[in-house]
Amino acid sequence: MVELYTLLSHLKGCPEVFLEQPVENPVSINTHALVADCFRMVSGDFLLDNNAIPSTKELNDLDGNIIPAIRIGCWLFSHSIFEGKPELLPAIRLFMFQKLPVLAPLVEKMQWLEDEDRTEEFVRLALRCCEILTDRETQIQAEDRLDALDTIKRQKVLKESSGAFERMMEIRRKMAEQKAREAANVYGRE
Amino acid sequence: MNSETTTDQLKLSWQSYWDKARYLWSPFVKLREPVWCLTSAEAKKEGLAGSFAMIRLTDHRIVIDLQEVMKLEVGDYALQVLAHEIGHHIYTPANLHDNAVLLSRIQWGLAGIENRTAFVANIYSDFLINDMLQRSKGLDMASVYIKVNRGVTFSKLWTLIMRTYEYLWRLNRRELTMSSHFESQEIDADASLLASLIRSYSKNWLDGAGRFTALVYPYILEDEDYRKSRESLIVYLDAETAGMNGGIIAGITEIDDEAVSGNVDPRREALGLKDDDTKANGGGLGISLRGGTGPKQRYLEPSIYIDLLSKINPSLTEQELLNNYYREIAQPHLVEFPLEQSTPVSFTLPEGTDNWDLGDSIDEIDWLESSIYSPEIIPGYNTLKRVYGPDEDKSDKERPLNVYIGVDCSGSMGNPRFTFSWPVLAASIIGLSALRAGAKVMACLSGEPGSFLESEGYITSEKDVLTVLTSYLGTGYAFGIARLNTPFEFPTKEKSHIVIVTDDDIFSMLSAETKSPEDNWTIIEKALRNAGGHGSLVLHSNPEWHQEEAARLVKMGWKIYYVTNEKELLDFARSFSVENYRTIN
Repeated sequence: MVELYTLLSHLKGCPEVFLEQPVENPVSINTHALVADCFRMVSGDFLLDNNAIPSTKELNDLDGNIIPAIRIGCWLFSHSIFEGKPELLPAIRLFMFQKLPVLAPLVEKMQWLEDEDRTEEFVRLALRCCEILTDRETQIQAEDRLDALDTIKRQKVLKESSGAFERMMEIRRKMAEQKAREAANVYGRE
Repeated sequence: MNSETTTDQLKLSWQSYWDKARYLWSPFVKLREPVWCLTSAEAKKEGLAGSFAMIRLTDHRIVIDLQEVMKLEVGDYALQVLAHEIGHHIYTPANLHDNAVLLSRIQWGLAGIENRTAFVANIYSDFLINDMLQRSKGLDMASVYIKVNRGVTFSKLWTLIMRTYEYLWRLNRRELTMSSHFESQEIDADASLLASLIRSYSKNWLDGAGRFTALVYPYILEDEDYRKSRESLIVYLDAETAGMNGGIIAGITEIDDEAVSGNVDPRREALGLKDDDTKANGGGLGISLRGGTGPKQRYLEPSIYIDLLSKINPSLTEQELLNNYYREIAQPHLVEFPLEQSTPVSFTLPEGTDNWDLGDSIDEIDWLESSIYSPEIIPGYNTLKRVYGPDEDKSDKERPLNVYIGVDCSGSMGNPRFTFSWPVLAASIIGLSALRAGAKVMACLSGEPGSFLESEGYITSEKDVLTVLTSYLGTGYAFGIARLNTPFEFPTKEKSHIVIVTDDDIFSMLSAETKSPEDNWTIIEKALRNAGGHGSLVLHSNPEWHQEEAARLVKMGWKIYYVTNEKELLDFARSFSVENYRTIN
């Protein structure tokens, strides 16, 4: 069983250097080396074949803004509960190179560590990719909880409802104007 | 708690949790034990209706309706309930001032539905306190909700609130919302934003009020939605009237910059949209479309100020609020009031009696004369004081000039209740400055032909002076010059300054026919002479109009000030102080 709070706490402890963009600090850690270390640690095989590790090209193809999220992912998977579980490698690749590139542009990198909901979303999304359930949670509960935190879904709902909301704001603006006009009439009355 | 428990037993049980609840926040919390009401009728007398608990910021009390507690079967949650109520006293809103600021910030975002301000503020405070208790203090607040929610009438807002608590406390779906009724992706999205907001602003909670309001606004915009929301949440409304009877809160006349910048919709923020348009308009009605008003355009319109303060403390009268509005704006501009170098006197010879005002010292009342005047004594109404005349000269002393303030209250003058009035502010500055210096003030409001309202001679009561100055008649076309005959028909014993606040129509009044043998030009000249002091006309007018008549007044000795904006007001106040002071000395 995996204790969710342990992973949340672990993620929040991610070193700041992981968040630096390579352009911000040329001597910062090498992302490819970090990913390779992560994969080797999870596989439990220090001599893991290079083909099993995402290539530099795969990383270079990603938008620069996604790199910090990838590095945070490497930090998450450095936790001992993932150690020596080569069967998780395809799931980790899915999380890092398919899920995060969609999600990361919507979230400021610091939010992954400072906003409780985003931290939990990050961990839960990783766990779902790995098909790992946290203690005392059923799959439905875990799905529902991730669903509640889903940034992409929330953005979609907000976009869809923004039309209705704009209409409401228009009503609000008109009500404000109407009231201002009524007040002006009172002022001008002789 | 079993079904046999009586409210007396429940009281003992809850009393035993009181100290624990206090210690939960801090062992240093000093708060009196709650008012324990054994019946709902008792609770109603204390002002509690609808909920089973409430707070009062005025006397720092908590009121608990034990009968209602039993009815809702929350008797086993004494610690949670008491800790929550204490939270209102020491966390949010905590005091009358923060309560007022919170309400003002929420009102900014409730365009057209400002009557829901206290309701929204109560829900916001509850979120902050409950989340603090559940997550930081380790109290099981969710159980209280599960208990109370049985039999609740569902509403969209209620569902949003419960869903937010589920997010905040990592509860499973429907643990608090209980059913799929009103469940929607939109509510989920809003609840998610609300949960983040409550966490983010738990320390600087006043700064999150605008965003919170924007999130709940669509849920209470329609009357029917609001009615249903209120119905489902009534049992939780324990701080809606927290500021009742709390007097007037100072500092609310100014536009709150934080309220403007915090009036942001988190939905738009989440989508990366900017709220510039909303901000420009103030988002709601807190700021008029013209911006702020008064000096430096930083004050609320009087009508909005009155609306807001009425919500904070419904027991205040409109007149009290209006007086305070102009008093607060006038305060920074009070001037050094002219002093008269008077002939040295010693008041020792009794000369008769005069009315004793509430502002006079109580030992000045002449009880014998008052009893002879009226057997039933009503202080300030039929009480008399003895007046003494000069006996002998001693040494020089300085004394402030009394001041007569006449305010034109005809239809052409704006009602200071609805729109900010520079002339009324000017008059307030002079009146308050005079009172502060120890002078007496006579105020007269006149809109003639028609009606007038004046104080009973020269008085020292700030309230009475401001009440006259800020009242409104809306009759006639100008200040009635004949009013000056009341105090100045004959030479006065004590010198007085005359200030008349009016507009251009005063010149028509001066040339108008009168029923008395004297024309108005004669009256105004005589008044200035008999006052023995100085006369100022504060005109809401253009200096280029009626130049000939204005010159005639100046020749008599009247000083004319044109006040239509801040610079002119301050010039007037400064000139009034400097010139008169130098003239007298």
